[in-house]
Amino acid sequence: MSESGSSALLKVVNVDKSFPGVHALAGVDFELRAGEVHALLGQNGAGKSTLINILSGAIHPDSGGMEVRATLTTALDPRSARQLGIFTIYQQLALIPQLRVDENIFIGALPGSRGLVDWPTVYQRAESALTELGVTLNPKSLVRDLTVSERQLTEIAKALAQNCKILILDEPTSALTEHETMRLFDIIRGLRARGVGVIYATHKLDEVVRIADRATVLRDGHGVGTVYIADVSMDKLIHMIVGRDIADLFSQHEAIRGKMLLGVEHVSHPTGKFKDVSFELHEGEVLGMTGLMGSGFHDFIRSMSGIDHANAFEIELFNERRKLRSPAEAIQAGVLYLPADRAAEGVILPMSVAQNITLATLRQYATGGLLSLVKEESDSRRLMDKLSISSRSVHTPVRYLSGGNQQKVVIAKALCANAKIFLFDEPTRGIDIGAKAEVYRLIEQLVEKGAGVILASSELPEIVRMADRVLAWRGGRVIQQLSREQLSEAVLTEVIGG
Amino acid sequence: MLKAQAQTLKSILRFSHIERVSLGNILANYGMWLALVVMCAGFSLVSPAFLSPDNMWNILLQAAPLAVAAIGQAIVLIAGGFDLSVGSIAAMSGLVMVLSTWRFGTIAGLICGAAAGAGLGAINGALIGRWRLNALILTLGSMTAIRGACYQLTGGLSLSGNIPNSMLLLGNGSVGPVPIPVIVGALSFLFLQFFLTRTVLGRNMFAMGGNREAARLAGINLFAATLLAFTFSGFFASLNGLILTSQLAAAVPQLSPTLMLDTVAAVVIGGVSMWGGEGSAARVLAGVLFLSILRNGMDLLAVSKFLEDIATGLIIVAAVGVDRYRHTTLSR
Repeated sequence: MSESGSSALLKVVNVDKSFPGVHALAGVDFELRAGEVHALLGQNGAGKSTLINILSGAIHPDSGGMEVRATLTTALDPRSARQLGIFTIYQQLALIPQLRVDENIFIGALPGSRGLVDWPTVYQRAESALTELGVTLNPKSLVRDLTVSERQLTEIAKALAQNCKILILDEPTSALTEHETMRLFDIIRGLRARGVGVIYATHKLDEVVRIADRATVLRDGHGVGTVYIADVSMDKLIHMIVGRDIADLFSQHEAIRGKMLLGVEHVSHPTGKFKDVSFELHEGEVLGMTGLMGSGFHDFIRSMSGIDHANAFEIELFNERRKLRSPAEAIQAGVLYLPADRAAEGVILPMSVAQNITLATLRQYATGGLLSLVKEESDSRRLMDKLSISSRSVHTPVRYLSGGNQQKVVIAKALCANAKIFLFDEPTRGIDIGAKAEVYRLIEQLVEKGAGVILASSELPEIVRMADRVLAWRGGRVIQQLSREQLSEAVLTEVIGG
Repeated sequence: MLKAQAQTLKSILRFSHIERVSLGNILANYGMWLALVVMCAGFSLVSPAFLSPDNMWNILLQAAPLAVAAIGQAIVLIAGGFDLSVGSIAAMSGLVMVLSTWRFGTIAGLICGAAAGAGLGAINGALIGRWRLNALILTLGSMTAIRGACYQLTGGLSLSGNIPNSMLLLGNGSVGPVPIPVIVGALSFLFLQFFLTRTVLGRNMFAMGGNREAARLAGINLFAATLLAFTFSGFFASLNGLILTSQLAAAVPQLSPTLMLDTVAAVVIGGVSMWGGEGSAARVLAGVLFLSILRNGMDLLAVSKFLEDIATGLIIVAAVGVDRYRHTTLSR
């Protein structure tokens, strides 16, 4: 790999961008070379998303120079970015669910003449792009019928088919299993071999070490530095990202198991989403649930939250047999569910941080239907500090917060509740290192106080770190229960079939 | 003790919080008040009669019926819905009031009229809430059906005569210099502010309008919130009907024909978001005042009604644009 700028695919120099009230990027430099995988790291609010948006043409920088493939670029927009070969795959995939795979691959660039589309060519080229990726996917299938991983592959095929030279990936593996992640990495290596430059923005440092050649770290809108992965240690990376050392990212708590809070016996879903599930949850323990996508544990934990009114199943809750038929009933019974898709189901954007935090437990703040705004403000301020939610005040509408901070608000909402049982569904998805450690510590505090936590997560390191016992799922069933001593990522991977 | 009360008072009176101080933000959230001031200044320069006390009271009196109905519409909008049937409900309430007054006297008339409005609103809310029907279409249907019922009940004629003086008080009376409709309007605004900021139900409506799924997962009873939002709308629409009917001393089946458009225009101009989950009493007040002052000023200047409509229409378009700007650009 040469040091000269001649192989620089993309270069931004001294980029500056501000939004109302926040200086998102301050004099940031970034350079991507041909044939490299360049990781973009930083905490929530550090400026990663802003930089990616600028590189993809979605927003304009306030100042700073940008060069794409040695041509000075001033006004980049999504269309011209595409023409220059820049393709961005966001975490919220930008596909049209109602259309077919091949249509999506060529959307905006449909081959044809005189206003008419050449459908046979669309199909053929889509098929060859998919084959090149080593993916067996029917180009005629509708995107809405695809899994998240398949959708992501469709997006990559889109980039390939349209002659991508620069591929930007934003948190690509948050919804992928280990197996799918490995497939993605193979594809990325293939692209790299062909001279494509890949920008890989993520919070998952273990992945960065596996796939990236270099990494640029942002902190509070400033560039902290660019390093070669081979030359740097994990601790150094963390230190660059957070600005300090994180001691308890890897420490574990002592499990003290109390009385049984929840018992589930031979429970099945009528549609077969999960079958014959049995387990117990005790005070003071973290019960992990993991498996591949579609193995049923996500569906199960959602059903436990009372979402599926018609198919509510009987459980033994605090020594009483009952069914949880609605989220309201579950919350009242002391069972709180934290949804995985926080943007869609967790936050209410126009409402303030404080209002979001108290959303599930409003009764606590009301006497006779009347809210105590003072108490709400002080409680949410306390939680805001505890989780280091970066926001001007508790009265800021949540829509002004960065994605990661919005997720912290949702966790604060869960912590605000006096629930005895917490159902965490992918709790640290998209959350940065610093906040991750915070969340783990908070979960531990919860169980220390006697709560029971079910932690449903597809992130194996997280499960290994946090869980006292693990239910490994496959094909809708719990195929194995593992104790802490038996736990390791390797064992889990094998058991769940990844 | 006093400090806590002051703190609570501060919280009640707090408007939507300015987070990021920028021109765009200030204009989007508070621009309406600025526009109001500019408009008043403009009118007072061109028409000497504009700033007279008589005219000021006139403006408030004209604004009051719109204000009460707009309050109900705002509640529904915040909760994520739309109520197109407000005009028809107003007319039906007027009818019910006169019929009841004839039989049982004024007090009964007022109660029955308001109850009719609330009841019709409740039916709207129940149907929309229970079967997740589209609010726009359903209230379009009830608007048509209820208006039809008004005509059917009266045979197309108005109900007048034999109206006791007490019934005329609501629309025509005053306490000192303050007309009673204005008092009703003011009380309604106080109620709205209180309801939106201090009650659990009000907060639940914001949540439901802001993100229905998140609200459901947080344990909020969506059916109850929907039912009550539309019940409030029906009730406040009925207040509009009661005031106007009292002023007319007659119940007319075609009462408040454009109320639906006027209330939506007023709340959107004032800054209540059409996307739901956002709004405040101050914004409704701003929008109602804006519309009323605009009309009053144009009347004083003898501007043709058509030009007035064009102006109103353009302002609504601008308001929707601002709403969108607030909804998208100001978010991260």
